Order: sequence, then structure tokens, then C-alpha cells
Amino acid sequence: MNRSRLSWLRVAVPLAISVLVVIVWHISAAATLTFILPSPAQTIAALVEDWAILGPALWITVKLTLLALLLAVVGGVALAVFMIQSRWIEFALYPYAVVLQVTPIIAIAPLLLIWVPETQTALLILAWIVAFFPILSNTAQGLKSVDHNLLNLFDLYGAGRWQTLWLLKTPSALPYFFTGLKIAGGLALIAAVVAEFAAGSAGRRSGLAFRIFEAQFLLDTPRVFAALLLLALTGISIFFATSLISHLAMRRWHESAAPREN
Amino acid sequence: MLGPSGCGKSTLLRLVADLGQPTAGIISWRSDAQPKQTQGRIGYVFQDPTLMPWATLSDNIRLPLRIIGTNGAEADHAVSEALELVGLTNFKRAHPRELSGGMRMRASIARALVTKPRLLLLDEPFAALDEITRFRLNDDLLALWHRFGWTVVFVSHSVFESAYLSQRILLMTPRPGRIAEQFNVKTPYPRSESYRTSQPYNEICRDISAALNKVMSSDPEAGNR
Repeated sequence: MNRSRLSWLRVAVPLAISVLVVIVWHISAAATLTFILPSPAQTIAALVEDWAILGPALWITVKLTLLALLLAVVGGVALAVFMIQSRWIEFALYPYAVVLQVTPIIAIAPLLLIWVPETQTALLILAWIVAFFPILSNTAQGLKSVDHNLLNLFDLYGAGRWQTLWLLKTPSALPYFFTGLKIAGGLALIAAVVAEFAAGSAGRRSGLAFRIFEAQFLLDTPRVFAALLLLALTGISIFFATSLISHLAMRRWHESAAPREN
Repeated sequence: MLGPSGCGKSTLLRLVADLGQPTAGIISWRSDAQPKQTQGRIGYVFQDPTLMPWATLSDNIRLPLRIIGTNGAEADHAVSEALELVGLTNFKRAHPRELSGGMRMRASIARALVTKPRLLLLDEPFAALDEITRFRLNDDLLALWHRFGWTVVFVSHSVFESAYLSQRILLMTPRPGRIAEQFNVKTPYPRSESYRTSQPYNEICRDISAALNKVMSSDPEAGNR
């Protein structure tokens, strides 16, 4: 199969399947009540009609997600760099990172909402806790997975700790970091939504999660679907954005980004 | 240094390069050589090319200069000279994955040469290459050595390679690694393809093989390897 035909199919096949899904959805919706399953057209209509509510809510959730992800990158990378400086620091800190990660976020939420007066800040902390762990663990793993002979070479020429970190460990860790980033991007959105659910904050500053709650209460199922559609699109955008960044950063040298020759 | 795998040849090189501490004994240096590597007096080539996959060839070769703090035009000049010595000038912007195994090894040698070392430590550098490439690189190495006159410590487990390259061959025993025997190869340089089929070459290969057989048969663990 030649390359142009392959890339054409890569677009055509998912497109055909999604058309099929929409058709099946449409037929199923016609057979049931709107408040059980709205049709695709009703969902789009709700999206347009309720944009005045959903649009600002989307913006709030997206802002929360991206800010949490950004802080997760900063915090995760900084902590990973700190942890690899000494085995003892790692032994001392890593258990707490794991505890934070394995404790269900929904269970931490009430406590944080009491402690932190500003709801948005509490939400941000909650989303951050979830998103930062994959970045921390992947980056730390990457910083430690350095070719031993290259390390020997750096020792041989008398490289300092920061030279080794910057010239050798950082590039070695990039593929691991980007894997962590992709996971964290998805988790940040999930955590933002879960945190919003837990906070249940109303008013002008409520995100999509609260709008879903509200629409469910009003039995406005088309609006629930419209909000879900927006969340899904946000998740997909984050996934593609992180994949693209990763590809651009490593396409010249990493096996994952290079075309196969045989 | 010739010996079976696991006898400590590589460990010895590491000790010479000051990458580890000997448990006993001392390593002494000629007065103008320095065990500290801050000036790049030692070049080290590993069995793998050990290049940084994210960096271009010229950045890989520049690495030792960067670490020891040589920059600017002086570094540029040294890098292009090293690239030229190993015949990779046209590939300076390529990434390691775009090159063949032999070319990667050449790049690794260029990196070891870029600081103009006095001492070159080669740890089975050609063991993973095919025979055609290995013969070619052996000849290239001899030509460079003839030109620069470094001291070279070459670790090998090939009788033929050591006989082709060396002036002096130290045969090591299996664990515990000891120097079992020393061979002086008197054939003058330049040596070339015709040396591979000559009488002295065959004799020295035969002697080394016999000695190697002897040290291997005295090793109780030999069957386990």
C-alpha cells in the first residue's frame, strides 16, 4: 500500500465510523423520548441555544484544566529534578506523592474546600494533585534512565552536576516526560470536572460540570449532551495538542516519531 | 589487552580513566599526563558508539569540548578537523539514527579525538561491527595512530585483531583476571592487508591462540560460560 493512500485511509476510516455512529444515535433517539436520549440535531440545537450558559462555563473549565496542567508540569518537573539529586530525598518524598495520587480526589475535595476559602483555588489544587503525579513519576524515571556509558563519558571529562543534568539527563528524559504530559493532560480535565462536581459551586463562575448537574436537575437532557460534547472535544484537543508538541520536539531523533524504513 | 569476557579488561580501562577506584595497587602516570580529565587528555571509546540520539553528529563530537569549556572558533575548528579525520564531514548535521553502525563508530572515535588526547582507551570498539567494516576501521585506526602517535590501550577478545594492531599484547586469564603472558609483535608499521596473510602474523596468532587455550583450560568455570 503506498503512503498517500494510507494517509487518505487514516482520515476516511475514522470519519466513516463517526458518520455511522451519528446515524445509529439518530435512529435510537427517534425511538425514545428526548429527555432519555436527545438526537444529534437536538444536541447541536441545545449547544447553540444555550451557548450563553455553556460558553462561559466551558471557558472556566478549560482555564482550570490548562492552569492545573501548567502547574503540574512546573511542579512535577521541579520535584523530579529535586528527587533525583539524592536517593534519600527520593525515599523521603516519593511515598507522599504516591499517597496523594492513590487517595481518590473526590475524598480530598471536601477537606480542601473547607481549608481553602477561594473555591476556584481549591479546584485548581485538586486538579493539580491528580495531574502532577504522572509528570513527576515519568520525568523522574526518565532522568534516571540515562545510558550508563554516556554518564561515564560525562564523568571522564569532569562534567559537573548541572552540566550532566542539562546536556544529558534532560534530553534523555524527554520521551518519558511527554508520555507523562499526555496522561496528565487527560487527567487534568477529568480532575477539573470531578472537582467542580464536588464543589458544586453555582453562579457566574461555575464550570461545565456544574452546568451538567443543573441541566440534569431540570431534566434538560439535550443540554447535558451538549455539555458532554464540549467536554469530549476539550479532551480531544488537549490530547492532540500534547501529541503534537511531543512529535515536534522529538521528530528528528526519537524512534517513536521516525518513519520505519522496512 | 586480550582475554575472555568477564576477565576484567574493561574494568582495567575504567580504572585507567579514573572512572573507578582500585581496591589495591596504584596506577601511575607519566609526568606530562594527568589522571584528571579536565583538559581532555584521555579519549575513551566504548563498545557501543554511545552517541546522544537527540544531537547531530557535530554536536555529539563537540560534547567533550563543551564539558571542558572550550567554545567558539577553537571548538568549531577542532570539531571539523575531527569529522574530517574519520571521513564524516558530509554527515555533520545527521542524527545518529540516520547512520550505519560503522559510521556511528567513526563518530565515536572522532569524539574521543576532538580534545587531542595523549592516551586513547578503546574498549572493544569494533566488536559489534561486521568483518568488512571492522577491517576497514582497523586500518583507519592504524593510519590515525601513525599520524598522531597516541598511546593506545585497546581491549579486544579477538586474537586476530590484537595481532594485527598491536605492538604488545597482554593476555589475561579468566576470573580472577591476571596477566598470563605478554607477546611482542615485531612487525613494523605501516601494516596493511598483506600483513594479514604473512608468516609472522600467522605465527603470532598461533602462539596467542595456544596460550589462550592454555589459560582457558585451567579455568574450572570455563564450561559454564
